[in-house]
Amino acid sequence: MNNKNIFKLTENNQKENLEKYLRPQWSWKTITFIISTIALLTVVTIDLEINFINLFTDSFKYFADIFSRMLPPDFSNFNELIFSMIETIEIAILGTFIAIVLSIPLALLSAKNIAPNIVIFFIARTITVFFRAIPEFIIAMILVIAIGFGAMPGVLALGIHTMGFLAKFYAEDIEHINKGPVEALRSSGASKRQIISFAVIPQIIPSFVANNLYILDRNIRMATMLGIVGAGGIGYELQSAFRMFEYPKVSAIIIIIFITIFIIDNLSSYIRSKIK
Amino acid sequence: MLEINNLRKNFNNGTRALKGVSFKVKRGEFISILGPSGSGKTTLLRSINGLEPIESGEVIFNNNKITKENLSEIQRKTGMIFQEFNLVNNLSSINNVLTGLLNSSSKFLSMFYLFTKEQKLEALQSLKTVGLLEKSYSRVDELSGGQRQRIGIARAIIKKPILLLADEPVASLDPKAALSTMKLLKKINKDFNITILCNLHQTNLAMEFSDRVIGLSDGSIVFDQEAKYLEKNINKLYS
Repeated sequence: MNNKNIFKLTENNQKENLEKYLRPQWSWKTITFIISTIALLTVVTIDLEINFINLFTDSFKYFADIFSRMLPPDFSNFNELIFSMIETIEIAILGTFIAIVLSIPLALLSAKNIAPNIVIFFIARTITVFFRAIPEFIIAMILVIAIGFGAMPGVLALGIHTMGFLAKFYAEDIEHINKGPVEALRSSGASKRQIISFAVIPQIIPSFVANNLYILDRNIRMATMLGIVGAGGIGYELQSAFRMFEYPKVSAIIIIIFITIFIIDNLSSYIRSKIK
Repeated sequence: MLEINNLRKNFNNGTRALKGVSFKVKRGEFISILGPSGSGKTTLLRSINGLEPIESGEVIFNNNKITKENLSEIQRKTGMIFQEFNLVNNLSSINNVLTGLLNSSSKFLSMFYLFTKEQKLEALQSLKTVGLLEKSYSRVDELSGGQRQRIGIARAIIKKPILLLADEPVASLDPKAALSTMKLLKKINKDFNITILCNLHQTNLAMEFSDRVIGLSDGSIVFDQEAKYLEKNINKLYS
């Protein structure tokens, strides 16, 4: 009986000692974050005068109307649409290539760990931010005015804009490489360019390929939009169909774009999975 | 061959890594440096080949004081082996080994992975020395830890160094691979008369393979003696 009491006393003491280490499962930071996010979304929705209830009640009949006019899809000019889609893909491929070529030196200069000095680093970083900040849509509009309609403004707009993205991606990859091989090469007296060639580039190759495929995928989607401002491709067909109220043609174009993106997306996923 | 005089090193965070370390090394010696983590072993080796700039003191290599200007000279004659191997994982074994020759290769051609036939044969010879000739064209991330360390050793010996700095070369390996790596280092030491400075944690390996053991504690040498007397002084390090 006595022993049992001692045991109980010890047990209670242990619990009391441990209780001071208890912490709430949700910290005040988490709770503050959740409340702030809800407050921000509420303010934004009120400020933009968006009424989600109306969207699903009043606007429903208009959605139903436009969808009914889009069906069935009109594939009567299928060959023309396919050629336009191919042109869109070509614009994206060339734009992506230009972006890759321009972004490699920019990335090498804007990666903190290998930039020659702080001034060059800052200039290179500013260039990447600048071109990332201007949407390709606006670049394409300016280029259409400057060099006329066609594929060229689309190619350049994609190339210049996504150069900023790729340079940022590459630079971040370079900044996060394993420093071990760099150190090993430094210890044997390799030059900076040799270190970049042997210890930096091989380490970023898998993400380099993955980023390029992602940008190609994205550029194909964006190239469809660029046609709307006269920069060639299937976007031009889409805009014409909208202007002429040919909604069945619009749905046919959307289906072609969807199938193309679906194929490219799966293809790039497959290639990414094979690269290590 | 190597003389370290009153080497001192403080880090920015105030840590005094080396507090006036001095010792001499004769050609062909196999010296183990023992000491607890944070005792300054790694800083010492890195200071010898310029990976870590020293604050005061001097490193004399082959009767020449090492300065910024002649640093590449010691780097050309020194090989370094790392605890985590420091290999480029998605390159082949032979390409990793060839990086050991970058210091003496054409700066332009080597950037494009172009090496001479002789250099490639030297790389194959190094791979043969470490027993991995048949893995020459395998990616190093397909190899075991022990094999990767051997590739690291092949990279270090390809330039025919006279001094090998091994920073805890067996710390990431299982006991069997560790023993085999130490045997390989000993063989290289004997066959090619390459001096080895090897940071270790395992006193048994230090006793078995070294000619001399230096005990480092808190940035200072606490003993420097033949390996056979190690047992007498080991308490000075870990007490």
